[in-house]
Parts: sequence; structure tokens; C-alpha cells
Amino acid sequence: MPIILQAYDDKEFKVDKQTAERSLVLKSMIERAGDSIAPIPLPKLSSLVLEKVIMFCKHHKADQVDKSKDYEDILGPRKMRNGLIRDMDEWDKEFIKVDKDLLMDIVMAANFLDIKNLLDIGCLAIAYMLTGKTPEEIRATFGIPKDFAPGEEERIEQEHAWALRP
Amino acid sequence: MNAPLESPELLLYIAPFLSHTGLAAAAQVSRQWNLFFSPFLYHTIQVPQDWSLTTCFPPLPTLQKHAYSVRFLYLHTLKGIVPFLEQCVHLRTLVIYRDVFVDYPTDLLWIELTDLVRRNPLLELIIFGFNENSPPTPFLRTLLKYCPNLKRYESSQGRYEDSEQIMALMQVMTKVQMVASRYEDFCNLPVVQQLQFPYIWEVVFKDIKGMSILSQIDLLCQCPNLTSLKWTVSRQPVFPSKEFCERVPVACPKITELHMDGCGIPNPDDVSRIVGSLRGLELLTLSATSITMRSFLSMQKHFGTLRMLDVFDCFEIKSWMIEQILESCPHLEKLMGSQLRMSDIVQGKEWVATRLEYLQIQLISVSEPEPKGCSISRPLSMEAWTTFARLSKLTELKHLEIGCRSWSRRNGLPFRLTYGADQLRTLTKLRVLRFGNSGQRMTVEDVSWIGAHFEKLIKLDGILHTDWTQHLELANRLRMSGIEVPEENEGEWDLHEHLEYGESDEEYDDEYSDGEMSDEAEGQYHVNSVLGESGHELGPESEAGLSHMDAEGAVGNGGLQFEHP
Repeated sequence: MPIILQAYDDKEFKVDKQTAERSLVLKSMIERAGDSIAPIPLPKLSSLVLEKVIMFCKHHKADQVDKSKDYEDILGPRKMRNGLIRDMDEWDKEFIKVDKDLLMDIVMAANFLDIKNLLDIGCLAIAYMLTGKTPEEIRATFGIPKDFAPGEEERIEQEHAWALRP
Repeated sequence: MNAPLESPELLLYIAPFLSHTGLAAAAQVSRQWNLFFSPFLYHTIQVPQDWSLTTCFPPLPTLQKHAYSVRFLYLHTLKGIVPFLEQCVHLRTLVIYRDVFVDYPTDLLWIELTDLVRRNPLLELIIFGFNENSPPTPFLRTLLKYCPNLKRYESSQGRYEDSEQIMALMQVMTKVQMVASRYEDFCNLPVVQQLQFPYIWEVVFKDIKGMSILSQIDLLCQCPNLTSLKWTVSRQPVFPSKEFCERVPVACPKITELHMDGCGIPNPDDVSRIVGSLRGLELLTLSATSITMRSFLSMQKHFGTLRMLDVFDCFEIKSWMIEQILESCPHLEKLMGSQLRMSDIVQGKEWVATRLEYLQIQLISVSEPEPKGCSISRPLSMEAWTTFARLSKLTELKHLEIGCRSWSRRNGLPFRLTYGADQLRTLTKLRVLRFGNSGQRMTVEDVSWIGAHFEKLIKLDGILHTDWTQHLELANRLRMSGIEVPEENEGEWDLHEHLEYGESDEEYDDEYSDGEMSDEAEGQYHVNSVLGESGHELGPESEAGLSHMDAEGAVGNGGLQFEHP
């Protein structure tokens, strides 16, 4: 029996149980509801994001559950620098090549629905976006306000200067 | 919408993916980001001897300020760093290198270290590299009293001179789960026999001096829950294998991992008795230990349970035995051996070891490579075809090493499409491929095939063509498709040809391990590879005072994964 997921714009998506269960949140809902499961409203997710999330879950539905462990193993920072994003499936890499806003929404959705693999590759993608940028560039890219008190910025910069030296 | 970058939970999730420089930049973005990202910069602190002169090391006031974030502390010196140590209260791992004893007055040093452990009740792991000294009794008693979470205690090159101290040490052992002693001298002090070590499941005894083998057996028999034993002895005239076989399997019925690599047991048959006396071994490491045909027969007893077997450099392990291992060990995940002739594969049966993730075996051919003017050699073609067919069933493989570990050339499996290499398209998980110098004559086509079919391949090591110019060209091609091909220069290869096995071995440290080490040093993240740390003792490291590797292993085993502050 298919599970029906409702995005906040009321658009409905039919997915099979195995796909839905990639999300631990949906999994427990399905388990509790048994056979007579009503459409699940997901008012925090737009249909664009939900579609993307479903696409991911569908692709990974046959993965062994502990596959997330694989990602943990390979996501060390050194390996990142060595360009080991190669370790993600080609499919995953293509999947996560989205604009910044959609990426943020996907990560929020992955966190909310508890889909660890998706959260991993999403956060890795965010980390990539941060890497190599100056604080000013990061603020500009993500629209983060600079809220330091006078002198505070210089102090912090000085404090962490050692980490930026070769 | 930037919601993830405003959510503390997600910021903490993103942080471990960043490098040091990335963290430092992120910490300067905003007040909140500073709060969340800074601690990750101080998670692991490695204090070098000349820290005050090192520009890429935090200055003392900064260290003091962030001391509460430090979880892993590696000390090469105490000089000038004590005010920082006084602020450290959340340590999980403490590593004391032998250098600290060089430039600091011993009495004061032990007072500082005693205070340090007293302030760190969360300490789970402590590792010492001594310099023919050892921790005084008050330190050991403090450790016992104030660090109830201590799981692992390791030391090397210590020298114990008083029996009260040994007693205190043994008492610490009654609380921990993992113990390692390397190259230590117990000066023939009596060993405490009435104690039980109920939590210990892993013991490493490496070349202990001043304690008879019988006493070591006594100690082992006091560990009823022992599952993993790494044991080497040095130059003992007689090894009491009878006592071992009669007592240890009964007293420690849970032993499933035995590492006796490089073990100087004088009579090789003793190794077979020991292996034969145990039941259901899952890990067995005997590399570079002299064993006999009988040892292979004892090993057969464990074929049904073995997950990892290391018989590298065991000269009595012949090619047909390796073939038999592959045909008979259904649970094998990691196999390291010296040589396998492809003619034995042709004559053999299908392999049942289909769970292999790591295979290191030099595949050799006695057939002539292609004669001049001929594009393919028939006998070699048949061998290669069957070998590729067998390998193609090992779909779990992540690491495949089929070339020679020494740099001298020996013709092996020709990794070419014309010889059937494309059967390996089933190996979708392959990350590392090593040919060594196996007389390859690959073509552009073969190399492109590798780039296109091994999606997860990150490293290919070896000489791709016997012609050096062609090798360089092919290597560049692979690099362009994002695969790391270590640089070699031709001169070195010639030089390597004259080296013995052992000397060039260093270059081949397990790729998992060196990755882990640097990660750990950066304090970001910990990687626990499949069977990664087992069976690889870093000899020279240990001798230098500490086995880094084991520290690493300990971190993994102790479950000290990264934690958010």
C-alpha cells in the first residue's frame, strides 16, 4: 500500500513503504499507524523540496541501513581536501548539485525527517561551500549579519590566527 | 533561507566536515558561529617540543582560554605549558611521549601529571612512551582513584623497579579493558597473582623483558574475558607452549583474535600448537613469523570462522595454501599473503571467500609474457581470464593489491581488457588498486576503462607500463579522471630493485592507517576502518616510544567518536 505525503502546498506524493522508511520519522509513523495510514501532512516542506527528498530516498531505498556508516568513514577533513567527494556515488554528487537555497531546504528536511545519509551529503556540500572562503565571503554568500561588538572581530581573528598559518 | 546555518544542531553537524582553516574562517563569521566552531579547533591539541616557536600552534593564553574544549591531548613537552594543563578538565585521551622526560625535572613532572589526571575524571585512554622510567606509585593510585572511566592503558619502554609500583599498576589493570605493554622491563619483580582482570578484553604484550613467559601466561589466565591477544616474545630459548595450550584456552575461552606477527618463538611448531589449541579464531596474524606446514594444518581448524588472516611473509605458506584459504574461508574479509600462482587458480575451485574487502596477494605468472610480434600470450591469457573471473566474484572488495611489495619486477596479472580485465566491472566498491611493479603493459584503452568503471577508486599505485614514458602518460591520464597515482621516478625504481623486501615495506603502510592518523592529528574526525587497526603493528613507531597506530585503534575501540561539546 502506497504512503501519501502532502507538501505544504497540498500537493500529494505517493511513495512505496520502503522509500518512505528511509526517513526514520516516517518509519515510526508508519509502524504506529499499521495498515490504515492516512496521508501524512508535511507542512514544513515545499513540493519542490519534498520531491527532491523522495527522489533521494527512492534511489537509496535498497541500501543497507548501516550504509550511513560508510559516509562517516570517508568524511574526514583530510580526505575532503584530497577531493574525496569522489567517494559519494556519482548519483549523490549530481543529486546534491543544487543552488544554495534548495540545499539549505534539503538539509533542513533531512534533519526534520531524520534521513542520515541525506543529512551527511547535504552538510558535506555546505562545508564545501564554506571551504576556501574568507569570513566576509561567507557572510556575503549566506547573508549572515556581522554582529560583533567593536574590537571583538579583531580579537577573534587574532585568537585563531595560528590555525590559518602554514 | 539559511535556516541550517542558524540551527545550532546543524552547525555542530557541519563543523566536523571542515578543515582547520575552514573552521578558523567560520569562527570569524559571527558571534554565534564563533561560539560553535571555535571548540572544534581545540578538540585535539598536539603540543610539540618547540611549541612556543611554532607559528601554527596556539599561543598560551589562547590555549588556556579553550582548554575546556580539549578532548585529545598529546604532549611532547611540559615546558611552559603547565598553566594550560591546569585548565584542561575534559580530556578523554592523554598521550605522553617519551620526550617529556627529557626537558623537565622528573619529580615535578610527575606532580604535574598526577594533578592532570586528578582533574580529568572523563579520561578513557592513557598512553605513555617511557624512557626507561615508569610512573611512580602515587600517580598510578591517583589514576585508579580519579579516573573511573579509564578503558585503555598503554605504555612502552618502561622500566619498573619496585614491587609496590607493580602492585599499583596491576590495580589499575583491574579496572581497564585494554592493556598494552611494549618493550618494557619488569626487572624480575614478582607478578601479582591473586588479582583478577575481569574487564580486560585486549592484551598486547610485545617483547616484555624481566618477566618470564610463564608469568606472562599467568597474567593472561587472570583475564577471563580476553578476546584479543597480541603477543610477541623476543629470543626466548624455550617457549612453554604446553603450558599455554593447557591453561590459556581454558582460562580465556573467549579468545577469537590472535596476533603473533614477528614473534620470536624459537620452535615454529609451537606456533602450530598455540593456534591449534584455540577455538574459532576470527582474526589471525602471523606475518613474518616462522611457521611450518603444521601451522597451516592448525589454521585449517579456523577456516570456518576466520574473518581476517595475515600470513604475509610466512615463507612456508605456499601458493596452493593461499588458494585453499580462498576456497575454504567463507567469512574472510581481509587476507594478506605473499604469493599466489595463477596456475594454482586455474587448477583450483571457485572461491568461497566472497566477503573479502581487502586482498593483498602477489599474483604471479610463470607463463611467458607475449612474445614479440604476438599481441597476446595464450597460457597467460588462460590464467588471467580465470583469475579475473575469480576476482570478479569478490564484489565487496575495497582494497585490491596484486603486485609485488618489493620493487623488483615480477610478471603478474596483466590488467588489460584483452586479458579479461573487464570482468572486474562487478567490483563497484573498489577504492584502492595496487599493481606494484608487475610488468604491466597497459594501453590508453585499459586505463580509460579503469577511470570509467571503478566509480569509487581513489588511488592506483604501481607501474602501468614497462616503458617509462608510456607509464607517465597513462598515469597522467588517470590523474585527470581524479584518481590519485603516486609519483614515482624512474631512478628510484631501479634502486628499489636492489632492496630487500623489508626495506621498501614502509612505503606500504596500510592506506587506512595513514589517513586516520592525519585526521586524528587534526582532531576533527575519527575514522574506524574495517579491521583497519588490527594486525598492523608499527614496529619503528613503537620503538620510538609509542605506537601511534594503537593509540588510534584505542580511540576507535573505546568508542571515543567525536562528540559535540
